[in-house]
Amino acid sequence: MNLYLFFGFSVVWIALFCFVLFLFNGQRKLAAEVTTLLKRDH
Amino acid sequence: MEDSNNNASRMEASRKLMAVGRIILWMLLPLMLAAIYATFVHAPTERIMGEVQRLFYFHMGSAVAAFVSFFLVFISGCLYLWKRDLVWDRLALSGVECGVLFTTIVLVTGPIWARPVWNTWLPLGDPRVMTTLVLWLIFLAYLLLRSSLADGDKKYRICAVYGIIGFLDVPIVFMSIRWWRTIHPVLISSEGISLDGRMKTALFLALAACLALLAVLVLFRTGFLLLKEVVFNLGDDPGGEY
Repeated sequence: MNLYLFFGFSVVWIALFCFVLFLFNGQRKLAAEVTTLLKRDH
Repeated sequence: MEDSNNNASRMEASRKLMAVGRIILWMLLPLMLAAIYATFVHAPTERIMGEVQRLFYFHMGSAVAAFVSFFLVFISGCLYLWKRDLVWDRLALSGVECGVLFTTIVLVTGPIWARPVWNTWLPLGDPRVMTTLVLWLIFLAYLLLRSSLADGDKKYRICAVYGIIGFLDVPIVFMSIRWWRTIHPVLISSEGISLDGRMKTALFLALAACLALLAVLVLFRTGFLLLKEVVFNLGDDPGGEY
């Protein structure tokens, strides 16, 4: 029973981790675009 | 010229926050798995309460993470009033959002644990439950207040003062089980933490995982809010932090 709970919550955590990583990569791309815009403005 | 300097410094701050956040995020992957393993497999089953007691590790971890978030709001509020730097205001906002999230986890796991043990979902007469609920409402109101004011220094000052005053409930929540009669257990006393060795391991792992998760969320959110401010200054966005 407890092993099932461990595996279940591990799967939920890994899915959450992948989601956060996905959001973070989007944020990093946005930062790169803004940096390009800032350089262009200079 | 001042605007472009501000933009450059905010971009730099945002980039640094995101870089630190990324390192902690990768450290968090095995840490959270270890905490889940310790909670469900390593820690023994409590003799009287049974399996439901396993909620305790993340219940307390989330409570500590919420307290740390609101302390961050307090410090950031003070620093904003002193320096008038937008970074501190955005850090305070991230702290409130994460604090509300972790307090919600506390308020959800608490009743699930309380129902079989205390025979009630939410004993509203209990000082610990009541003060925690008040803390949650205070910072929900912070978010409402923030969304109802127009952007600018006045809004940030009001929010900083509100955050500082709101933080005063945190020591009351912590001390409530020592000051008043309560059915909530007192875990930390002058004799240390009264727990079995394997339960202590699970508790410390869950605490570390919750604090690392808090750090990741605060760093990413603050980084994003600063990035948004830069985009606003470039004139490509309607503005605001939401």
